[in-house]
Amino acid sequence: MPMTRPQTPRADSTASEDQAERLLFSLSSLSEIGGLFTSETDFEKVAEAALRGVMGAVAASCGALLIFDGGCLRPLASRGIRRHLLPPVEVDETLRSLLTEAPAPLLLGRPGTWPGPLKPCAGAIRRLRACVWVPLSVRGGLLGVLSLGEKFLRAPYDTGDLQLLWTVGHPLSVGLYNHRLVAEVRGANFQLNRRVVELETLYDVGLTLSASLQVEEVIEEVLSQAVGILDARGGFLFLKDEKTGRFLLAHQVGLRRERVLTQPWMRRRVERVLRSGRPLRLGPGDVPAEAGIVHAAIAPVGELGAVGVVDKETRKEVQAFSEADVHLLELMGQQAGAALANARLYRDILGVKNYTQNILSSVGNGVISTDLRGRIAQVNPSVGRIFGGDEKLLGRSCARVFRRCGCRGVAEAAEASLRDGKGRQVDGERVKGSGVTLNARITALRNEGGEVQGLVIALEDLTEAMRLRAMFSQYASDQVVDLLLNRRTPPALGGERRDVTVLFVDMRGSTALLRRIGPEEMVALLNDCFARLNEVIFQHNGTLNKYTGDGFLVVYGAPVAFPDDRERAVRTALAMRDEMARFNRARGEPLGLAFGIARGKVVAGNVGSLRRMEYTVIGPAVVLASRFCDAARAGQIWVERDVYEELKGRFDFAHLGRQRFKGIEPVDVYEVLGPRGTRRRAGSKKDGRAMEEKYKKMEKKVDLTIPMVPEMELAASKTAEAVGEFMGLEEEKISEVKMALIEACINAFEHSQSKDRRVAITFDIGEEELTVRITDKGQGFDPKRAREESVKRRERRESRRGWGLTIMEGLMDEVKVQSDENGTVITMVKRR
Amino acid sequence: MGAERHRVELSIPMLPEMELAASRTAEAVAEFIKLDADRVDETVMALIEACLYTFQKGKPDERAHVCFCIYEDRLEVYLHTLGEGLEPEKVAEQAEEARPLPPDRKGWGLRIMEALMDRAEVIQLPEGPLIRMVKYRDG
Repeated sequence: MPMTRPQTPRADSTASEDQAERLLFSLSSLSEIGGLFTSETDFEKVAEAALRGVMGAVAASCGALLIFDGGCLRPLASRGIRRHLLPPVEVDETLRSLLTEAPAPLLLGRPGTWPGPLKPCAGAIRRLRACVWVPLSVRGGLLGVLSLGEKFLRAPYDTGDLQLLWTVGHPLSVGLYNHRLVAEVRGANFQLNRRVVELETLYDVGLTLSASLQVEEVIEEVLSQAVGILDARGGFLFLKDEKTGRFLLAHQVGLRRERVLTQPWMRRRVERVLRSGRPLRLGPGDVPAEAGIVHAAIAPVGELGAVGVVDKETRKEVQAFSEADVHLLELMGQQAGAALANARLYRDILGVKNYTQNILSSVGNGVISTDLRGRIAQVNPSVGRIFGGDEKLLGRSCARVFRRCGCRGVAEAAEASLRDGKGRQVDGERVKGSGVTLNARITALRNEGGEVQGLVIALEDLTEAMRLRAMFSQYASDQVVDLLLNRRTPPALGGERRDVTVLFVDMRGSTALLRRIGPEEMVALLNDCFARLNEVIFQHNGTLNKYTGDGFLVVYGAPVAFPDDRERAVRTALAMRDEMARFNRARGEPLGLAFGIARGKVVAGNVGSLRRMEYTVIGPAVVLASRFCDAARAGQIWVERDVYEELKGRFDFAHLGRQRFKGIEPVDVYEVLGPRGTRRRAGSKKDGRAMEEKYKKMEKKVDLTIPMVPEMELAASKTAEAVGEFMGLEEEKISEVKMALIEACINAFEHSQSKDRRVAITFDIGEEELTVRITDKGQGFDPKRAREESVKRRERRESRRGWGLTIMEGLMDEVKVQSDENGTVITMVKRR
Repeated sequence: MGAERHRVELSIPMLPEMELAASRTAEAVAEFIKLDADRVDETVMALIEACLYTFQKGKPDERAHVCFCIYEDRLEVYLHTLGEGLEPEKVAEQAEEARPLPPDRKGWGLRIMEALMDRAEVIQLPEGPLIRMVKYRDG
């Protein structure tokens, strides 16, 4: 008989003692199960406890509670059967109907007697060792199956058992149904909260990104936000080069740049993401094993590139990125795309503006442009000098300005040109106030239709000062040129001996880059790069003496000397190094700079032939700085002793020893590591050593105070473990320290009679040893006597305790005890 | 509220990875008060975040002080660089009305702390920030 429906007892029937007992048991089981659903919140725990209760009620030897989920019955709880041996049982429509419509538990006898829909489940029923299946359903919806194995003593399931199971099945179904509802509500709530956090995060990211218009800052911010928010081990950002369309690595975090660049799969995936415009999630099968990356997610950054994150890290393991993570990355990518496009637009506009400004500024002559009504729209710095002051010119009538300063001819010519659109030349006008004599060339500005839109007036300054300015403005900042021209003695163009600081800068990685990108792109790249670096030089009032291929010679002290020439040279080098890093991040190129700085007497002056003269410096300091620059690695700044002695209070240096260079006596070489007290540049071994030196000087001490409460010694033990790991102690030694410390703590807890009931523990982390001090304010003890007592106890085999000191001495390399009526200090040392 | 039962104090140098020492102590304290495994993990993670926040804001030569105040129903964790011997819960109470961190200045670190703990806040004192986090025994 495959199915047995429990019979309702007749009204006149009498119950045997066994039946009454079973009834009571059933009621008590029902009550227990009901109680479970109200007292326990964990779904699995409820299931396990319910299963235990039902099995107890019918004396079943094994059983499992299978839950219907995703078209399968999956084990939720089991007893007497290993859950991992139970695969999901597929439920087709016929089996589902059988289970939801079953009027009673299914008694599973021989397989031949089973209803047809059960036959495909033969394997699962065998693994479950099932004798009875109790379908669990509510309102026609299948929730699961309670599967029970053989009864103890191989007793058969009788009608009473089946009646009981059928009765118990109903509250179990309702309980499971309610729990499922609660779980769904919780799930929905969780998703909702997650969405709120996601939106808040995106809002924050949006705020941060929109706060910057610098391309490099936006790139860094995008990546650091993505890596931080998604708990990734690292990340990368590829951007399409605006000119070549190639994908270039713009920035990476937590990954080595060379490693990213040498992994073609990464670039291929990035290209795929950008082509499809959809994010990508990669797992172990998608990433080459040698990549050292397990999981990755990549999302497009607008249409400009793609951002990727690798290996979601938890405290214990590396995880895959979830769909939600990838979605968040995609949204961040969209925001980043917009921010980056804005930043690029801003940069381009600024570039055009600066370009025009630079051209105008570099022209020694004054340039004025006006609108159709002759009002001044733009002037270059030379105009201010010609008119002798800071007079505000913008917006004023140019004819009126020229008349006021005595240049009537220019004023009339400008008015005439505005009327007829013809160009004019006016020579030899003298400006009142500044005393400048000038020639003016007036040209009409026309639009595409040939209509006059305004004027451009070029003013040629004919004075000596102007000629000097035109020459020096190629080399030095406006500030230096102003100083030079304001001196009583003009610069000796024929040559003079001066003390100068020479900075040589050489670009590294340019040859390989040239091979890769070709000469045209290389020139464009160098122009972009040099424009940034020149700006840095001029900001520090250096004189850019000459270009040396892909490097420069910069001089401090000629033609104008400042008292801090050495410092400005070093600060220029540091700032150029930072600027180069920013440039690399923006362009995705691995270029580096090496620097050499030397101080000494040189001859400064105009050198060359009549056809081409150049202001330059010649002397041993130039040669030495050049040799330093040749020998230094990318990113290194080498200086000689004179510079080191002058600046050692303001910068951190590493002494690189006394070195010999071609054609020069051996000299002491120092590397500049950075401004004093700041973090050292990463990457160099010497920097690492310098960092270590600083690190050594810091007090590495951990103090812990715990109450004298049982088990609180574990807090001390865990802290000791962390301290041991921090200083790189071997695992075995850490275990010994932990055991000794636990012993010391328990001794203090049990024997100190301390009034404040507290133990103070200090971990002193030395280079070669860990010193642990355990202090209590108890009554103290005599260590010698304590040892004797413990020996006696051991001989008498009285107690396992009381051997604390002996144990500590056995575990540690050194143990000292200081004890008096004010308390006890135990000092324990563990050597590396 | 209930009176404080026990107190564990920890003082660490603000060096990279020293936050792990604080996290182990926190783990032991959380286990001591019988928090369940998830709540122990949450407390540990929140403290690591708090340490990183403090290390970032503090001066390199300062020390970070962590105070675990164990109550009948909860664990309160205080983190600051204001020096030893301070009773942070009193300072926090006095300063509470004065200057808690405004919502728009909350960084990701504080949001993580808030998400992981039942209560987390950074109280800005003139001498530096004081972080207070609370985890109840029964969430």
